[in-house]
Amino acid sequence: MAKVKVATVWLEACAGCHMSFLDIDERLVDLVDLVDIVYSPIVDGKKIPKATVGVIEGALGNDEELHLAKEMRKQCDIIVAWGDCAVFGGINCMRNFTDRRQALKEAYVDSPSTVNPGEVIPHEDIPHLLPQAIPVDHEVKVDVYVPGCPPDADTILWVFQELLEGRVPTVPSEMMRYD
Amino acid sequence: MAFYRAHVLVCKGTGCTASGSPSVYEALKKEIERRGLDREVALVETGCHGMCEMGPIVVIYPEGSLYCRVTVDDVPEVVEEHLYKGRLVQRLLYTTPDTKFKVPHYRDIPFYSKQLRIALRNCGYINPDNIDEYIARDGYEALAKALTTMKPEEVITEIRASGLRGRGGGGFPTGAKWEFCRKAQGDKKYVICNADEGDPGAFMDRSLLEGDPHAVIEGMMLGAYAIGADEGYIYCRAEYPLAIKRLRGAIAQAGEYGLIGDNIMGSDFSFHVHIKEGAGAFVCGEETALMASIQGERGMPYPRPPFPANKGLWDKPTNINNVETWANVPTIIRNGGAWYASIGTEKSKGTKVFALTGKVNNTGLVEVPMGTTLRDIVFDMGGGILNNRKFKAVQIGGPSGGCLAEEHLDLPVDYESLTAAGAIMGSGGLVVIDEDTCMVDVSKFFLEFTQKESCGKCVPCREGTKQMLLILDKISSGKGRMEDLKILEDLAVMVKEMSLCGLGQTAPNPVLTTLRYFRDEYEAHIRDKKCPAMVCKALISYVIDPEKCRKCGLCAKNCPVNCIAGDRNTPYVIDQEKCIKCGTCLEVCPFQAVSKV
Amino acid sequence: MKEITLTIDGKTCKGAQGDTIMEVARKNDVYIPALCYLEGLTPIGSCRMCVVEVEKNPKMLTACTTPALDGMVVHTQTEKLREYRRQMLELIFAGRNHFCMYCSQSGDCELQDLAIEHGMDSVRYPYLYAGFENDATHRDIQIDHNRCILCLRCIRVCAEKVGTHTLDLQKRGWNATVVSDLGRRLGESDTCTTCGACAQVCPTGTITLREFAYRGRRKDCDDVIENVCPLCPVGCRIKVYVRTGSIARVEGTAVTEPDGGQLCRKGRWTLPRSSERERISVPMIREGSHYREAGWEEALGLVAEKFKKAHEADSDGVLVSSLCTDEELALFVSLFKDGLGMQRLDTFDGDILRGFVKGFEPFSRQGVRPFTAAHNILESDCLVNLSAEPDDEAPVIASYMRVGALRNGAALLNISCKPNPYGDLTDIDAVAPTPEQSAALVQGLADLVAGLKFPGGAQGGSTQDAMALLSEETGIPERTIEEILERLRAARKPIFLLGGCLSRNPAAVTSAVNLAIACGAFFDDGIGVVPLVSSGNSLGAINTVLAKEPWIGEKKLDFLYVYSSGMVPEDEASLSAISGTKFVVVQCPFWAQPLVNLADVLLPAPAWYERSGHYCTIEGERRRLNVVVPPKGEVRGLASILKDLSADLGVQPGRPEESPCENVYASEKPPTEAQMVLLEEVRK
Repeated sequence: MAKVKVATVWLEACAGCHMSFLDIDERLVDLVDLVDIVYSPIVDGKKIPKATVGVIEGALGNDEELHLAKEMRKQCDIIVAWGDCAVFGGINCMRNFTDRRQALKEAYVDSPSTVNPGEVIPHEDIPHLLPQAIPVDHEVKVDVYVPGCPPDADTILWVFQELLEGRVPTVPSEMMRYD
Repeated sequence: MAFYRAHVLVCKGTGCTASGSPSVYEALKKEIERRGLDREVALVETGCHGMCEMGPIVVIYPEGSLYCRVTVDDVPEVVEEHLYKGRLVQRLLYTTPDTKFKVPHYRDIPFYSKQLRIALRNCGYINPDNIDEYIARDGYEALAKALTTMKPEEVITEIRASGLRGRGGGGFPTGAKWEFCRKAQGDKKYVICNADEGDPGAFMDRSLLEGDPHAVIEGMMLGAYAIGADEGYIYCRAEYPLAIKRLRGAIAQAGEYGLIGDNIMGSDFSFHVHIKEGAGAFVCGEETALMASIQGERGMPYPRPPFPANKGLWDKPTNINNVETWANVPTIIRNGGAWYASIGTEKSKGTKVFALTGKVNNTGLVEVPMGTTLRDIVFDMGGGILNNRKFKAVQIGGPSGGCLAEEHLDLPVDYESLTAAGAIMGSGGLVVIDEDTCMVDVSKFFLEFTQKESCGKCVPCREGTKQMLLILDKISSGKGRMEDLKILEDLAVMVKEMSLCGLGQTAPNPVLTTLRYFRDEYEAHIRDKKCPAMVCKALISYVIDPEKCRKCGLCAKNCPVNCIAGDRNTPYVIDQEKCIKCGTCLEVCPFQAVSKV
Repeated sequence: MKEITLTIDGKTCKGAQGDTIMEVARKNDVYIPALCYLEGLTPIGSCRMCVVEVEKNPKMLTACTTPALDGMVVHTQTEKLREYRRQMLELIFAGRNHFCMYCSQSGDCELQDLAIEHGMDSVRYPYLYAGFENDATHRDIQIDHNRCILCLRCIRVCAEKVGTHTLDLQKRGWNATVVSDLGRRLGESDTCTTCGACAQVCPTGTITLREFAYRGRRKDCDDVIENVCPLCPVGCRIKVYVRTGSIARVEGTAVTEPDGGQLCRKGRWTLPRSSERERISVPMIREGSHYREAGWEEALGLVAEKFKKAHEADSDGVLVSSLCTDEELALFVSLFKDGLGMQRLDTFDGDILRGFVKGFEPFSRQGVRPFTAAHNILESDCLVNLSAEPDDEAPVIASYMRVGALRNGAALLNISCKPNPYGDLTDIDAVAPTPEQSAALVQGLADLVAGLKFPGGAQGGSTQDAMALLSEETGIPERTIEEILERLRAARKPIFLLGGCLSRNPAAVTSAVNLAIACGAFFDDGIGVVPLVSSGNSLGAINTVLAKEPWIGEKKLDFLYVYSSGMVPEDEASLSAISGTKFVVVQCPFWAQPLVNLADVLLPAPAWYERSGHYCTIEGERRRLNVVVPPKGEVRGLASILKDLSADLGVQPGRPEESPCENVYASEKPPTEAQMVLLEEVRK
């Protein structure tokens, strides 16, 4: 049987969910027998190819992340949003309580350990901030939600197992967490 | 007793007062005196006649002529022509809009001819500051009849037979409610009059209280006698200072005559009433929140059961009714319940007062028998749509009500038919909407009101109305998606079913009815990013036709944000980025060169 | 109570007439989700999570407020209800800042539990990012309004159990927030007593105790032990959460308790902090102004030696804290009194307790119980404060008084020699210039009331003259005395709160009981008097270590054995006597100053949380304490130490009486048979 193609991205995220995924430890060996990770920050890949399962970690905070999310939706049949950031918006949403200028100023000029006498805020050749940091499903349709910060390794493995058996799962209450 | 050959009735309702009727009154007084007619002509101030669009109104008897929009300058001619020479002043009579016929007697004015004034019987007739005039019109006769010849149970039987239903919006059978309260166990019982009329644009209760306060008081006393209460409260919103003043005056005068207080008319029945002023919260019109407010607590509703009839004010059995409901009671007791039940439809008896407002020619108060069609109200009594525009919808029941479309014009107005169509009778607000009104905007308007007035206690209303409003904002600014309609509808249904009190339970009605009957407008906003009625600012633009533009510059001169550029030789152009869509340029252009697209 | 039967989700459930659907469900272990409902608080039906479908009723009804009717068929888990609950949970999450990953309450949060239970794996509504205030103005309690779901539990507990009604809502609708004192932040409040009840009932992370956040979720704690707070005579039942041998937090047991689980600022903060205090962990012997560590043998040997000499010279004494359990008190009695025949035993603040004992004695001799359980204040219709200052002595009693006056409509009278502690709640204020005059007023009132009820009563003569005389004697205006009499006559079940300062004069205590009897203040368990004794187990000390006549300060002693809990300061008189004694042994769990510096030998003792036993509380019952953490190292239980000491002294301790303290509550006759007594009987 052909291996199922999986693509993953981490957007406005800490990558903790990917680390939690790796916490499935030795079961990763069995998983790799069935799954082909064709695109991911943890493997080498330049363009997002067509895949069956697309995993998005992290919220959408700037143009590039929005573009990547839309690419993933185009190329992947089933989109999984794992982690509180992808599902709810997460910590990134703290900046939504103030406006963009204020957030940038806080980060690049006012924070206690920054030395920036020219009060330069980077703006050339970098993606623009979106008006608000948003969860993935505000822009792109998501098929499977896996909340958690990070989700348990066992839960992530269970989601993969369900997908491999051809089902589009919903995480049951016993396996769900928000922190 | 003096005998006058003519009575001049000047309307001193709030609407006419705002249009200047006090000065007209003073002018009439002076002129009548100057002409030496003061012994023959009586000058009376009355409450609201109802045809507020035509104020200040002066009605002269015995002819019964109703003069419209009377100004101080008209007074000499009125006195000279009508009072002295006995000739009607034609130009001041009501003119029917289509046939241009000048109606000599007010009862033939379409606005009045189809009305059956029971609750409003004295409004516009008597001077509300004089109890003798109320008594002369059979006032306090019902109370005397009840106290001397009827047992409390018999009073309830009459009310039950009449089929009277709560006029505040609930439509609950009044007789049944009284009976629950009568049967409830308690050493102390209360009656309350809900005069916290909060619906924007509704003024039925105000006119009643200002024009005929005794009817409400007598009604309350009959109710108190029937259920076994000896104390009552009138909860009147503080924004009605004239109504409160008239009430206080009426209570004082009734007290002097022994018609209220201890041992009324020499019987065992005593009744004392207090006036409690509201403080600007729509939610305090809800009965449990109203009672909390009287008790000095924050005006937030309580879940029912238990119902006020068993556990109400200070946990005692309490009967609350609306102003209009109470006002009908004395007439029912005088004429009998069967008489009242002979009016109206099978399940909705009697009459209802509506505040006819919006895009009609004749705005004002009308009282019609149940079963009158919407068409009659809007086109006959209302005189048709203003400026000959096309009828689109009628919003019934205020922010708790729903919008009905043209297909419903022949619907008989009664509780059941309106509920079946998705609207509610409500307290009687009736807003006529024409083709220049956007239905999305209408539901947004009402939802903004209910969202702001939500007390915040329960989750569905507090959070749900806010989210619904956000979706409506999105749609009216062109950012809506088709999925939003489903989310909006699901949310509206949930808020309606799960809210704690009537405010939350009815707040989604405008949204639900407009979605039901005017879904195409929503879809146009979303799919085409257009507002068919040209109202939603984000979806319209003002443009100047360069062919028609005469380069006069009037538009630029009046533009509040200076976004129109041009000169004597160049047609003017509006900068769409800066335009705030206020519409001033369109209004001032003498050449119709500005249009909305 | 008539029994009713309902069918809930197909299960037959029995309940009582007057129950709500929720109460019947809970009695039958049927689960209905709820956020604003908390047993013990008035239900308000505002969260709408407990909405159920009842057959034959078209409306959706909240189970917590709807009275259950016989024959009702109720459905709690229909598809529609689950979907609606899910929508409302999503609305709550979207409305304010409900991100769990950085919340101290995550894992301990009822909102989170409900959302996970309903499978909320995404929120379909846009978050509103409104940014409400995080009120950190109060030193101990933080209110983060971003997490508030407006369940109004905090408002209800503060109004219904604590009685201050500090918290309430401001503004309306979506902008509504909880504020203190009609618009202030919590730290600026004049009425907040820092009891922490609001934090205890808050289902989310809105109101948190700043010191104990992040110390451990309730679920993560190793153990939850039921104990009793030792700091005041009310003895509130507490739940002590332990994590890795440390106390993570202390809470009241339940809001359904008469004290509403509110604890007070003393119990809620002092108790957990005490597990971090420095301990006396081994016996220590003084050398100059330093202490050196010693073994038990050496230390107890020294103690025995000094004791024997002093005992021969009749210059020895024992001072025992009345925060000791009944069992510990009994042990002291069995060794020192029964075993060694010592005369001088006493407790701290002994005078206060003696005053109560002497004042009550004439009535105990009649066989009636001269006092009632403190929570009966909530049953009374007339509360009389006799020189009590419960805000300091026993804050929960102050709560009872406030709730009684505010919510139960009881009249509140302050007949005292101290200023009125209840402010505007008081109906009549009668403050006499001196304690003696206040006591005279109490007795005078007793005589007048009795005289009114029984013609030719205690005084005889005209009431008017008696009132005039009393007014002159006490400095209280005649009109006030008349008003007080009116209230007392009208009261059906008055209750009298006696302050500790009153009891220094036993006759005043007797007068108070006289007044109670005259006014017919009878409750099921005793006469309507609540004595504010000073410490946790003062009642237990009465029949054990309390001296019949005071001996502290009479003469300088050669030897004193002092046992202190280290949790409350010792009284001035005792400290002064201790500092004048030649040889002092102090047994105390903590390095409590200045007491430990007065010692020649220091012995470790188990802390309040390292022992088990019983307390006799003024809530009318004996309450059990359980060991929270077992004592470590050289800290030994009292029984073991005293056993060694008695061996060193060559004495066999007598067998401690089984339960010497229970006699405190004993009564042979119902309180209605109590008779007033003449003060002369007491004065001798």
